[in-house]
Amino acid sequence: MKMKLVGKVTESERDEIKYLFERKNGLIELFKCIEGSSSPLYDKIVMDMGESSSKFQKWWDDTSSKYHWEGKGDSHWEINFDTCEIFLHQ
Amino acid sequence: MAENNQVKIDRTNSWEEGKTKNVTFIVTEDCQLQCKYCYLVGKNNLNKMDFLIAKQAIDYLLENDDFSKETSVVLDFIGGEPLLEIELIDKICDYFKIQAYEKNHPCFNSYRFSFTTNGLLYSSDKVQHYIEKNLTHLSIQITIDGTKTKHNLQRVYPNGRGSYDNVVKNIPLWIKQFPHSATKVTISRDDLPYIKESVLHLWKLGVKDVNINVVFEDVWKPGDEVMFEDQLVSLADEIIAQKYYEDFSCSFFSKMIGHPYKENMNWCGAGKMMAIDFQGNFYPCNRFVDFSLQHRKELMIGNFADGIDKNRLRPFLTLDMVTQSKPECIDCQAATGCAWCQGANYDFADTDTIFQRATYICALHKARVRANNYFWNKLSKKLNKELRTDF
Amino acid sequence: MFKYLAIILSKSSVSYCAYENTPFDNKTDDLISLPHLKNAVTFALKNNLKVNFLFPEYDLPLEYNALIDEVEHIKIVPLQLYATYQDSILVIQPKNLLQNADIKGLKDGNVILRVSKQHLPQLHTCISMLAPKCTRINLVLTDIEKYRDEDLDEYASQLAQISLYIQDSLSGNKIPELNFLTDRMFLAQMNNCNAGLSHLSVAPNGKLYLCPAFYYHNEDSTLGEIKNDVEIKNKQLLELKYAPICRICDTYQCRRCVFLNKKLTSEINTPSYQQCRLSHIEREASRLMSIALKESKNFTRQIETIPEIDYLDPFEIAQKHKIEISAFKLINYANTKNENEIGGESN
Repeated sequence: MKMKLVGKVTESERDEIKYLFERKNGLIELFKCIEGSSSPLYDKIVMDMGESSSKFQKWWDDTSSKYHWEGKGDSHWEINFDTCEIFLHQ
Repeated sequence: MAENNQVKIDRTNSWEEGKTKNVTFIVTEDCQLQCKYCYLVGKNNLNKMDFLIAKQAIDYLLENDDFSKETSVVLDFIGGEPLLEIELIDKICDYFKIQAYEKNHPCFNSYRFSFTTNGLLYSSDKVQHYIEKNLTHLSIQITIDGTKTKHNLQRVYPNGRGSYDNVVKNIPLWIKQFPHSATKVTISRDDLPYIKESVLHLWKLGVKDVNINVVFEDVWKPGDEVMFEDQLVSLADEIIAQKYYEDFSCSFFSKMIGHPYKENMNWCGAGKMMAIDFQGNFYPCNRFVDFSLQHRKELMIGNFADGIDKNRLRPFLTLDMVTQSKPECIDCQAATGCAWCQGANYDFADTDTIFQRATYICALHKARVRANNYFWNKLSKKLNKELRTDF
Repeated sequence: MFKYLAIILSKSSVSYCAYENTPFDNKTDDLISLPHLKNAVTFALKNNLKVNFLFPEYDLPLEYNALIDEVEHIKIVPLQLYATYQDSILVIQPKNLLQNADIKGLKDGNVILRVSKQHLPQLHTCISMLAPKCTRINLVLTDIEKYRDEDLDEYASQLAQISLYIQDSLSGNKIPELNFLTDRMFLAQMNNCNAGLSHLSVAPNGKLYLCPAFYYHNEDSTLGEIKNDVEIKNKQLLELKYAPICRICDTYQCRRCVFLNKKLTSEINTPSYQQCRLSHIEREASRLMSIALKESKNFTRQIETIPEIDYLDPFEIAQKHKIEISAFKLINYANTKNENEIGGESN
């Protein structure tokens, strides 16, 4: 596994993806503690998860296009939240 | 030539450092072990938190910001041994997640559940189930104190038997699940000869980050600092020779240690966090609860019925280094990095005050500074680059 | 260095501060023993200490009065004993005044007015009854731990009324000294109680205490027997330098009561929010009154300028701005001039 530095985002952009990342994970783990579809929260969480995942993916799509990061088919990007650096994970 | 960013010996990895609201749940006063250096002098199997108390705590946390305005939250679970109450903790965490979500509280998007555990129950089904449910929000620190010899000197069952074997078997699973985890190692007098080999042993086990401290209690004798310094210098030599500084960290070595004070800051965060006991009483940190104290009564700052007593918080929030330190400490040329614990200070003080700093570790701190200087000077020379320019 | 000694002559001796005394039961258990009194007086004589004697409501045996007269002293007595001890400091409560106690004969009095929260709305009435008959009134609020925001507002309102009364009713230089309203106008540095620094107290059990409040709160909090080298552990915490909130404060008339500090915040060097807010309410009232008096042609005494500030609690400042190490090391407060301290010299 190789990690290659391919770019850097602004602090504001970092904060955006950080929020979405935390929210996505929070919703996934929230889902695990409700009692399935019988829970009154079920529908809301499912919708929320969908929305968060879309926004999460959109950030990566938009930002990678903006900065033209190097990318290959079977690789993905990762962000270091401390340094705002973007790494290509091959 | 190695670049500075390849020196990781002093890396720290603390989530949202300084920007979190920390609430500690003392879920139990029970523990399977009777570690000889443990400051929890009153452990017992009677006092355990009820879910209703925890529920009130969560409700209070989500509805009040009178002790901290931060929106990132860390729920810290301690004991005794917190994993003894994993079902309660699971319930508490579920309640927190649901409530934070339903109330649309900002902390739903920024929280962590934190544990310091003896690790004995780590691989149990219930604990693993909990971990699987909350993996991305967990910070779990297992205390493994070094080599088997060193670990078993202190971390023993009530019958005196060492606990190393039952802890170390859980380490691979822990590292697999939390690759960037750190362990916390405590050094008391008997442990001094084993410091170097213990740090190296932990790295070999795959625990890349070792937070290691000497006990604050008045146990140190003249001459201890000599052995301590020798151990650290020998460790420094090994770290440099084997280039361990590229992959591992040990808190004994830090660029910020051993300089005169520039700023008047308090070392400890007591007062900016809150600990809650099994009865729903609030404390500035768990070190002020009665079963943690040898010489003083507990120091509460409130409870659910009355809320936080802001008068009781005032001393903590205005506490600074100069007001609690002796003049020789303020003027010390090797001052930075000399640690203290506010609860221990309170316990050991001549009067019941938090404004008297205990300095039993003074000789050891100075020994550490010398070893630290040795390390950085030697490494800088080897890498042909001054590594301590940022302090 | 100690300058004064307070000697509590009996358990039921009048309280001159925020603490409550022990109700009188019987004289034998109540009164300080003669040997203890002699020991305390001898200690004062040997150490150049002036004494404040705190009297009970009843007459003392002759031998006690003889011993008291051996040392330079001030008597602090309940109002009931005014006729007997006319040069003393009187302790008065609102109930004395509002129930028409006899203060007709009071002239140029030096009084301590102890007011509980319950009587706060009558404060200006009490002051208006006392002011024409006194050269000095020390106000003590006895239960500030019970004060909430509405009580602080009430106090501010009372001070405003008192200030107007003083300006309207009394001609310039006949204004009595009011610790809560006029002291700040003439102070250039802290004028605190300084218990444990400039004075100690001897209780009826013959032992030393930081002040009477500590004795009444907990007899075990003694500093020990009377002896020449009294040890006060962590004594530096009594000093202004070691009080993070107080050392940046200019509310010089505040008493910095270490007993109330300890009681409410658990630290002798940290005042409660009630104490800070009350002191700052007084400061603001002083500031406004000083402006009015300066403009008045009747008042000729030199008044300090009190700057306007935008906070009521210096804790807000102390919390955010830690003192620089170099500034802390330079702090070396001269002994405060306790002109208005009980038993001290007054202007």
